[in-house]
Amino acid sequence: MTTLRRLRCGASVLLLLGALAAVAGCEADPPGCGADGTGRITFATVKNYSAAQRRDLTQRWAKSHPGEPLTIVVLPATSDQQRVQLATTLQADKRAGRAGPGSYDVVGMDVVNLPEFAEGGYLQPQDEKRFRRTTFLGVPWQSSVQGGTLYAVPFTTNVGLLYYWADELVSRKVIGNENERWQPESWQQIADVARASMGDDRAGYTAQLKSYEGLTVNAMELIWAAGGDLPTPTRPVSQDQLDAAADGIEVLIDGVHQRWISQDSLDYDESSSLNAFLGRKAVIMRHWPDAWPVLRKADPHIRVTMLPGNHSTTLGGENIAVARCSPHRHSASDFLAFLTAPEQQKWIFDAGVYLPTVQSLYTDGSLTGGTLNLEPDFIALLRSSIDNARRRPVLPAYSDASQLIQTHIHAALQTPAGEGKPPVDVINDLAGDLRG
Amino acid sequence: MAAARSALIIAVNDYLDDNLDDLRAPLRDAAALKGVLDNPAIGAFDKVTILPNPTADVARRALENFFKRGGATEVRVCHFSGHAFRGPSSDSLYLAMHDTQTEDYPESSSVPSDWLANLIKISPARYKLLLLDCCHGGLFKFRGPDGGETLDSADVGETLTRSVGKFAPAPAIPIANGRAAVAIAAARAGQGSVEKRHGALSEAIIEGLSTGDAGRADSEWITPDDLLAYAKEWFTKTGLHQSPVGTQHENTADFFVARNLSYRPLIPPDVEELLRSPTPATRYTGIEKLDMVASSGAAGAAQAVRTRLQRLVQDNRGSQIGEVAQVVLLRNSLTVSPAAAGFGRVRRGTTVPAQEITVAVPHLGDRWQAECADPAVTLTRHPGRLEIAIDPARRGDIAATVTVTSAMGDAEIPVTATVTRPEIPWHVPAFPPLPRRLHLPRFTDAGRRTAATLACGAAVLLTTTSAHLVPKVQLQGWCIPTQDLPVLTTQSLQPALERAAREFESSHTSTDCADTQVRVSITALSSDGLAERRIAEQWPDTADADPRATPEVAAAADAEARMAGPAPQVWVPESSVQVELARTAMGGTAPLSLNLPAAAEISEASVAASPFVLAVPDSPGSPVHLTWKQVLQDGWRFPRPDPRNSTTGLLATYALYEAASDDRDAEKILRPSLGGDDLRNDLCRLRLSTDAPPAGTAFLMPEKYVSDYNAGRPLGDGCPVANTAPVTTTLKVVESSTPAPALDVPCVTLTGIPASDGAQHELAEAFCDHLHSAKGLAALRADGLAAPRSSAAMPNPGTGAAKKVIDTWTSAQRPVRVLLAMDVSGSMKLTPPGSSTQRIETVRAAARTAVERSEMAPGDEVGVWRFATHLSGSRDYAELVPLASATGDQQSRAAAALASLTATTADTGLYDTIQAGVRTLAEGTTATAGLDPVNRLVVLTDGENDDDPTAATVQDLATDLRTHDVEVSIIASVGADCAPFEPLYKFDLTCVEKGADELAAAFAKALPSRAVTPS
Repeated sequence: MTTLRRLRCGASVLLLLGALAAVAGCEADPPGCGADGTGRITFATVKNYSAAQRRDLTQRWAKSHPGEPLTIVVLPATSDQQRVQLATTLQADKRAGRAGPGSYDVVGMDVVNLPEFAEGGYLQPQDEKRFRRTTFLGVPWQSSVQGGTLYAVPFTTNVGLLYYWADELVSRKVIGNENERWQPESWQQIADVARASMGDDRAGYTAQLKSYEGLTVNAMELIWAAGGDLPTPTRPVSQDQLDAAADGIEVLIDGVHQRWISQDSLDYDESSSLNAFLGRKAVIMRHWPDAWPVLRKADPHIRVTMLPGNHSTTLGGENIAVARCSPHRHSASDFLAFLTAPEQQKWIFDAGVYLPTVQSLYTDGSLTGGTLNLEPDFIALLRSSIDNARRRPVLPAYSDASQLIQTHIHAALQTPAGEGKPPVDVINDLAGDLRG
Repeated sequence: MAAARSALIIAVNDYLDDNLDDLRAPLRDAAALKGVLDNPAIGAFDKVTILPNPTADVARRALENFFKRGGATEVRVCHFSGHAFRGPSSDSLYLAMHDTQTEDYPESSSVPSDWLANLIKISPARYKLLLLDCCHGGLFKFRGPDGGETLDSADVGETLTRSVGKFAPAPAIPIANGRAAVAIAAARAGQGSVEKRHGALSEAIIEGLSTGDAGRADSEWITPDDLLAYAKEWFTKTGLHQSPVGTQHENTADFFVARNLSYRPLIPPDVEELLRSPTPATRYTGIEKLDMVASSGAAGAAQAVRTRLQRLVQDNRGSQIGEVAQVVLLRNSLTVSPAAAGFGRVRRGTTVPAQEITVAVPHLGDRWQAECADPAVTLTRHPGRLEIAIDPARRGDIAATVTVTSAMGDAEIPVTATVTRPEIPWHVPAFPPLPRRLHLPRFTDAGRRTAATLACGAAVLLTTTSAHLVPKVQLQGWCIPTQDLPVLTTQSLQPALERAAREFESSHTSTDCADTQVRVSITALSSDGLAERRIAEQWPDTADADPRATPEVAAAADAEARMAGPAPQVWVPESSVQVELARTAMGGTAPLSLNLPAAAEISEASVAASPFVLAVPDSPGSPVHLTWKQVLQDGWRFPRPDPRNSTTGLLATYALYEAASDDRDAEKILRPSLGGDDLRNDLCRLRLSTDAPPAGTAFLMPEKYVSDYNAGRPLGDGCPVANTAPVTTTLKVVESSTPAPALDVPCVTLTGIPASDGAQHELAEAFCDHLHSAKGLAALRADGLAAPRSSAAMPNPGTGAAKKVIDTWTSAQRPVRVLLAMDVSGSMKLTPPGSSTQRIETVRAAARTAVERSEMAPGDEVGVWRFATHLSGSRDYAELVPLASATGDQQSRAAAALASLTATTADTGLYDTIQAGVRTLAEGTTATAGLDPVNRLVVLTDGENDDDPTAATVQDLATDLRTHDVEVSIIASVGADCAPFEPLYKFDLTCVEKGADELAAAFAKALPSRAVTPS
């Protein structure tokens, strides 16, 4: 009798737990949403592939998967808009319990958006046996993992670099000759050179300081380089780190106030900062690697180097994932493997200097020469910079956090000297908001 | 005649009664007070009389004489400095005079206070003040049925009021109506009053008036109330153990005792002058300037502006000025966001995350207070934000109000929560973020069915009866959005919509991360045209690209798709005209993936409005009123954005086309906008420019743009925000009695086929409803938009009219190839009756002037023919200047050829010439920059066709006009008849009969005249 009672209780608990799991599962996993089938797939990407490149990629895929036609949709221009386009589509599928007519099977997303889509139950976990960690660069790989589960694979990566007019630095005796690579060890060194280089019609330094995602990127790089960090609701930071963060943004604030960063920079994005630098309106510029082919071609005096700091370069790039509600998840997963195969990784690098995530390409000479004719030194610089990169605040509501960072920092940069809050107050206020 | 402002000062130093010690100060008090009251910069009294040491009789007569006179604007101030004593009854007071005998004749040898009070009450003077610097002054009362009100009943309160009053609105100084009688005494009943160099009250008053310290910072005047309040402060500060006390009678108006010397007007006098102007446009400018004063950063100024705006709103209810003032007032008011703190259902005894409210106090930084009487609500104040926490200690509802107060207005934040019973302890395993497939133990088929049934039963049981036991997925930190709502609009509306969107999010988002989490994402394009086209085309993405497109066309389509952002579910264009244009372009009845609401719904969809106004840079001599006629004729130049894309460009063009008798007249005053499709780029240049704007610069645009410009608000993505300097050249709205269109800002929900995503559609509808609500309206108004209007002064153009505007504009942008064919037949030698000038002379002068003044673009061509009969062999025409690109040289050649025209003796080969001209123009047609040129033959003739019988006929011309895309413009001058051409009017041929004095205008109209580069 006693035995029977125990068994019955055990069965009850098991069933109850099973039922609870089922109920909770309904919250995140609509019953019947998606299937591991094969067939037509649509790939939504953040990368601005041209029509010819889309055709080329589609034809490459068709060779190995003739019965699984591929459609490529390029998402809107900005990270925020890309997120919204993906979110509305994935949310609609989840609500409906099935993929709609305009849905995506493979979604490419800015690395910062993975936590939201993974935690929201929109992505199908991937098999780590198929996508091996050792194949990929370490930091980009980590950006595909959320809560210990692989929800995506890193498709492309990105990282900040420092560009400078070598002839100007030679004339300031910062370097002996133009072929001697300048590697500043701190932002203070950059500030010193920029301050010494400024003139009536030019600033010393420029970057992407408009109030948009680029400002978050730039601010975080300075904050991290100073040994600081910002909190998230789940990850507190010490007051020492906040003080260091204040030191970081003080460099920017000082630059704007002392005019070695031009006021115009507060309206600059990637394109306008590049144009300003090319027009010698600044001697030093922070930008992305895809600027190098353009700059190198434009003027032989321009050089590139790493940003200073230890793990203080912002990681960018695109992760690709399989939409949970896709009816063709098998084909979609195959497409992830296709895109991260070395051939396609090399192809995307040539297509737009989109940095591959596959480790071997950086050492086997695949990325040098070719149509871009890039030097081994530059590839080594890229690899070192990627290894030195760091993820932006990791939290599901990243865009809200980034918006706060932009608002606080841009306001501080816009405030005339002597009228604003001290940097430490700016950071403390920002941290208060970020803690939620 | 009595003086308008007069004072009587009774000062008694010397007393005959041994019971009354002589005093030292009264006469000094009198002299000093007289000095202050006499001073034109302070008291500005017309007459101040001192009565030194008077006897009781003299004093009574003087008082009666003083108070019994007076009129509507009379101010009477009586000051007494001396002894006073209490009578036999404890509440009677007597003012002692030089001959007063306190024991034997207290009544008849003194001035009894009741007698004096009565005298003051019955005095016809409108404003009366009695100052009693003596002991027991508090006994003075205005007795009687209408009584008197003691002013000292709330000493503390008054003191506080005065302190706050430094920041509070000052009372308006009435100039008519109302009466007042006030008495201020140096001490309460039973209290003595001391003197040093001066009597205590006298010294306080003299000091307060002479320094201006008695006045309020924001008032130009010192009132009796101010004096009393100041005296109380002064007594406290000086450490005197006596309390000034006031009493009043019939105090229905305030009046001023003196000017406030310390007053520094917070609102500049020139602004006040603008605000008092009888011209609405000038008052409007005044309001804009008020806004600028508020944003100067001075707290007092901002508050003064707010007070002034409140008065303007009150005084101008129902008028546009009132509305504008209301908008500016809202912009200068405290705001809290979100406007409510709803905690939903919370369990008793749990820790509930606090909610944060952003508190913004314009111009005053962080000067605000918050309080809540409900002990369940805890407030934590941070710079710029307020944390509201609740303590769910008891079951039931929490419905509290947090009051946020500031000198820039107050706000009430409702706090609501429902506290439910405490959570039953129940250990539930934590769920991974994304639960995997449910794995049941292996069973036989029968067993599996049983287990599955049991599991489902358990699940159902749990979900239906014990749902509260199932933990919801509660993420640490911020929540994951569950419903994103993409909204599409223009940059001009973006800030207002962002503000409204944040409020909407907070009111539609649960504090529980497992419930709905709404995010509104706003994509703002520089104008509505791209949105209109993409919606009509069903928001194509790159997968819809035409595979046959050239790389350039494909790249342009990609760029457009990327720039336009995510597919919208709500569209808020500037005007419903754009919605109807999109609807027309959609056409057909095929199932669409993007649908617009019915037209009837659009007419109800307006969430805001902004009427078009004429605005010019404000400078001395700039006009205050312009008629359309003046606009069209007086050399004004308007930048006009591309009407295909810009709502402003479309509606402004429509208004000018409607105002002008001919569309081409309107085109002549329009210049391409610097911004292409966003007029605010022109405003941006005006803002950034250090030079004075060119003469004739004017804008026809929504009132909101004027407001954005003058208030220094951002002017779109094309205008740098980092370099925004204070506006140096403001824009002035020019009065115009002519009706103008208005933006009607509809909120449009877009639905797809199938419309199965009801939740999303409901959210879109809710967003539009929010914009229609009071909160939404306030958010829009705060950014310079007005409330929706039931009817506009000028109805928006219908789709047909809008398309016609666009077509006309487009053709105006097409290159123009114009061939002038000038009649040189024998009749051109004739002179009109009463004139000695040959027709040919008149014609060539008019034509030459028109060519010289015409503004041609590089793509245009011009050529000149002359015609009669047989001018070049058998041809009736001769080519003087071959048709060629309208360079400066070519125009000079054309002008020179026209100037040298001479008449022949031949007949008029009119039809042959027209036929040849049409064919010549048609043969040479090549598209420039993708636009087919406008081919225009301009024919000047003074006679009918009198060619030989083999010449072309009207039927022949009809054939040519049907075949060739050529406009023919015939100017029939001096008696020539258009009738023969009537059969051709169905083609692109016009004929106008013009007298000699109208020729120049007729030529000018026929020739292209438009700017091709931004002015």
